[in-house]
This record gives sequence, structure tokens and C-alpha cells, in this order.
Amino acid sequence: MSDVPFLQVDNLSKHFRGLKAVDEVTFQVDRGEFLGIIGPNGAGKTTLFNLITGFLKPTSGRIHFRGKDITGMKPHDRVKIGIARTFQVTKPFKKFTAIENVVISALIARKHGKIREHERDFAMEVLEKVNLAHRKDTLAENLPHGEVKKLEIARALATKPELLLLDEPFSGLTGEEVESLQEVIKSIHEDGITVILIEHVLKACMALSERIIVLNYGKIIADGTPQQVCMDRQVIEAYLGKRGLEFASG
Amino acid sequence: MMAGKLSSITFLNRKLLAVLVYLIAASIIPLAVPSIYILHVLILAHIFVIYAASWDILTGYTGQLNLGHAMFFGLSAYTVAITNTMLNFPLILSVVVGVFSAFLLSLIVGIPCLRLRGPYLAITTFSFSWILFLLASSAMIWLSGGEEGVRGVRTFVVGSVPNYYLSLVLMIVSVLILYRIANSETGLILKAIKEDEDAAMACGINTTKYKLLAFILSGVFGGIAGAFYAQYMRIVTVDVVTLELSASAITFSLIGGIGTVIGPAIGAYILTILFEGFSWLADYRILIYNLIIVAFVLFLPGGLMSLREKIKAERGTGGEEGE
Ligand SMILES: Nc1ncnc2c1ncn2[C@@H]1O[C@H](COP(=O)(O)OP(=O)(O)O)[C@@H](O)[C@H]1O
Ligand SMILES: [Mg+2]
Repeated sequence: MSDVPFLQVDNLSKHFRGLKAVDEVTFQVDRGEFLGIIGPNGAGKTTLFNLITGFLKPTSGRIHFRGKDITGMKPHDRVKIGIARTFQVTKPFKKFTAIENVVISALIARKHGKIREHERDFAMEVLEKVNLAHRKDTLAENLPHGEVKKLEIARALATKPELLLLDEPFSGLTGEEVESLQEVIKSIHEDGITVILIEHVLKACMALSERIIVLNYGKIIADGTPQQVCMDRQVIEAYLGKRGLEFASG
Repeated sequence: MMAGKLSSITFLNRKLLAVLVYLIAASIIPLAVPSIYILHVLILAHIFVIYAASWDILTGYTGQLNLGHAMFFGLSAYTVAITNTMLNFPLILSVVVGVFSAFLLSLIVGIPCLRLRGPYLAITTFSFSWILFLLASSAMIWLSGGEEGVRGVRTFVVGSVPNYYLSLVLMIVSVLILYRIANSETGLILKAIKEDEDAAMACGINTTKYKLLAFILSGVFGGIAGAFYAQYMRIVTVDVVTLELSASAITFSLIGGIGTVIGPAIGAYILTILFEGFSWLADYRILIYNLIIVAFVLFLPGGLMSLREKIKAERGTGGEEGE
């Protein structure tokens, strides 16, 4: 049982016409881990999430979740077995109130037998978890950006996931908002949910992640602890360019 | 808090009261106004109420733009007429087969449409109805009778008054079913799909299944309206598959309020009465009809159903007074 990896990605590739957005990517994630994925813009991070969540079909390669091959599975079936996501470009149900946004996920979770209680009560709990309870009756379209980011997370949480994929949850947030969201994400992980976090803002990602994968041009160029990754020559090069490397090494 | 709660209760009661008043009025109309012509207009209104409400489930609720809703109405009407007159099916069987044909069409159109979004979906639904129109108006005249139509369809009940009551009951039952679905969990899921399909998937919704369900509901109730129309009119011509009929599903709903089921129903009722009732205005009525539509799009895009909020908003926040 325990030798089956929680999430196993094998030689995964996604080509858009000639472009190799994700190129022969292989990695594993253990249950309970907090994995960060970083890399420059266009590195293929979001595409990798789309492959893991089923929003895109891979050109080649396989994905196993808890020992089960999920490569061909539909997105909603992956939600059912415990994989949830947020979107980099937020997609709230604009004409729904905050709580209705979360109720949708909770409703499906109840249909799947994942929650017993009334979906509205459960949705309220989840809103409290992300500090949005006071906004429950506000239309999503009237929420400020920082709260829409939290709402996305609440909606994903209400599916009762075991694996949560967060695509740049900190983008566009103020320093204060980053700190409060960091606490929220930390406490979600402490509840036992495995988290994969894509982040462009390195500081928050470094602070939260136990392990970091660095993507560049669709390939993994580093995989290790935040400290190891920071010291990596290729990583510095990818982020700062060759001149930056010369600069960094004096 | 208290005042808000109180006024929402009285509002609910008012709605209930409005429904009751309508039902009583609708039940005594044939006794009060024994005009065959007026009853005819009202029967058509009942049919188009079902037709508009069924369009709304797919487009207003689920956000799948259907520009060819007449195909469900028309196919069902033709199937009833042809099986009843040429194959001598008993009328009840013809009606079942007619509604079933609309159901099949909803699958035939719906399944390929599941992968389509936005303008592609709109063009596809339009094309299907256009094909049906071409078949009925030229390619398959031997079956459809072309301009002459299919004549001599039998009818369940004879005369305006019985048809009036039959159509009234059918309308009430159909709208009630659609309204119940729209306001159920399923309705909420359909609305979420309309809001954002990707987000709906991320919530765990099987969007394929629910979109197909919306197609089927829409097609079947559109078909029910068409089947009733065929047996009431006793003749089916190309009128039932025209572009105009498809467009009227949209205008009825626009006037009433898209995505509310009741709004499109009210819109269909009022517009049918206006349009049919003012036929003495000849071509002017098309002008007036279109002016009304333009006025609504410009000044009340949410339709009649948004009137209350609109008035409230214009009075400022003090919208609760006098309740
Ligand atoms: N649907 C798509 N069609 C074509 N190209 C795409 C598509 N999605 C992403 N890409 C391309 O794939 C590359 C990786 O994009 P993405 O995964 O969004 O990167 P990241 O999230 O790391 O910024 C980019 O060059 C992007 O332009
Ligand atoms: Mg991205």
C-alpha cells in the first residue's frame, strides 16, 4: 500500500503545434507533501496543472494517482477521486454570491458522499477557513481581487480534495494579503491535504514549500529543498539569465 | 432585518396572489368572453409560453445559445401530422412519437454541440433548424406538403373552449415542471455551467451530462408545444420551422427576462396576445413589435422580471416603502 506513490507523473509531454510546453516531465509527490513549482513565465507550469487535472490531454506520458492510472480521466472524475485546482486567471461564478460559489462544489461533494451535513453549512465552514465568512452574501463580481483569489481556494476546498493544486494564488495581492493567504494555505496543508503550489512570487513559495521543482522550457531543471534549489546554477541562470549568473557569482 | 424579512414575505404572498388571480381569471375567461377569436389567440399564447420556457432552460439557464429552437417545435408538429394523417396512427400515439422525435433531435443536435462553445454552438443550432426548414419547404415537399402543409390532423377535443382548457392545463403543468427544475439543485448546476464552464468542471460537475440534460429538457418541452399545436391547428405548414419562430423564442425571453423560466413565459404570453390580437394593424404591428424589442434591449435588458429591482434601484435604497 505505502509503496504506491501518491502522485506519479511519468515522461509527461504536451506539445502545442511545434511548441513543447511540457517536455518529458517525471516526478513523484508523497502524501502530505507541500511541493512548490516555480519557473519563468511560459515555462509550462499551468500546462502541467492542466494535464494533472485533466483539462488538457497529454501528447505522451502517464499520470497515476494513488496507484490508479488517471491519464484519460475527465476533469470532474478527477475531482471525485480527490484532485482539486484553482485557476491562475480567476474564474468565479460572477453572478453568484460568495457562498453560492462554494455551495456548488459542496453540492457535488455531497452527491459523491464526501460530506454528510447540509451543503450550505459545509460551504459556510469552508468560507470561514479562508476568512471570507463576512462576504458570504456578496456577489463574486463585487469582491476585490484578493478575495476572489480566496474564493477560488474555498471552492476547491469544498470539493473535499486530497490533493490541492494552486496556480499562482498570490499573484496581484498586496504584501498584507500575501501574508494572510500564506497563513490560510499553511493551515490547509496542516489539515492533511497534499498541496502543489505554482508560484511566480518566490518568497511565499520558498516559505511554504518543503520541496521545489523548477521548470524551464517545459523541462524540470531542478528538484530539491528550497535551499538546494536556490543555490542551483541552472536555476539562477533561468531566472536572471547568463549575465545574472556572472553577477551572482561575482 | 425585520422589515426586510417582512417585505420579502409580503412579496412572496404577492407573487402567490398574482398567480392565483391569473389562474382564476384564466379559468373564467371562456365563460366571460365567449369569443372564438380571443380564445384562439390565448390558446396560441399558451403554446408559445411552453415554447419560450423550454428555450430558456437551455439558453437562459445553461448558457448554450440555441438559435434554432423551432426545430424541436417543428419536427414534433410535422411528426404528429404525418404519422396521424398518412400512417393513420391514433392521435395519442402520434403525439408520443412526435415528442419522441424532438427528444431524438435533442440528442442528435446536443451530442455534437457538447464540444462547442459560443458562436460555434450558435451556428450549429441555427444550421440544424435551417436544414429542417429546407427539407420542409423544398427537398421533402412530397412529405411535408410544402406551402400547403399537412392537413386533416385529428384533434383531442373539438372546439375552442375545450382546447382552451386543455392548453391551459398543459401550460401550467409544463411551466411548473420547468420552474421546479430551474429552482432545484440541478438548476443551480446549470447556472454554474452558464457562468463558467471550466470553473464548473473544477467544482466536479459533469458538464457534459448536465448540458445534455438541458438539451433534452429543452427539446422535449419544445416538442410538447409543437405536438399540441399540430393537433389544435389540425394543419402543419412550414410556419413551424421558420427562422421567425426560432427568433421569437429569443424575443419572448428577452422581453420577459432571460434565465428565469417565468419571465420568458410571461413574455411569450404578452407578445403573442399583442401580435395576434393586433393583426388589424397589418404590417405596422411588425414595426411596433420590433420597436418594443429594441426598447427593451436598450432600457430594460433584464426584461420584465428585472422591473422590480430596476424601480427599486431608481428610487435609491428606499425600495421597501409601502410594503
Ligand atoms: N492552449 C494553448 N495553446 C497553445 N499554446 C499554449 C497553450 N497553453 C499554453 N501554451 C504555451 O505553452 C507555454 C507554456 O505556457 P504555460 O503553461 O501557461 O506557462 P506558465 O504557466 O509556466 O507561465 C507557453 O509558451 C504558452 O504560450
Ligand atoms: Mg501559468
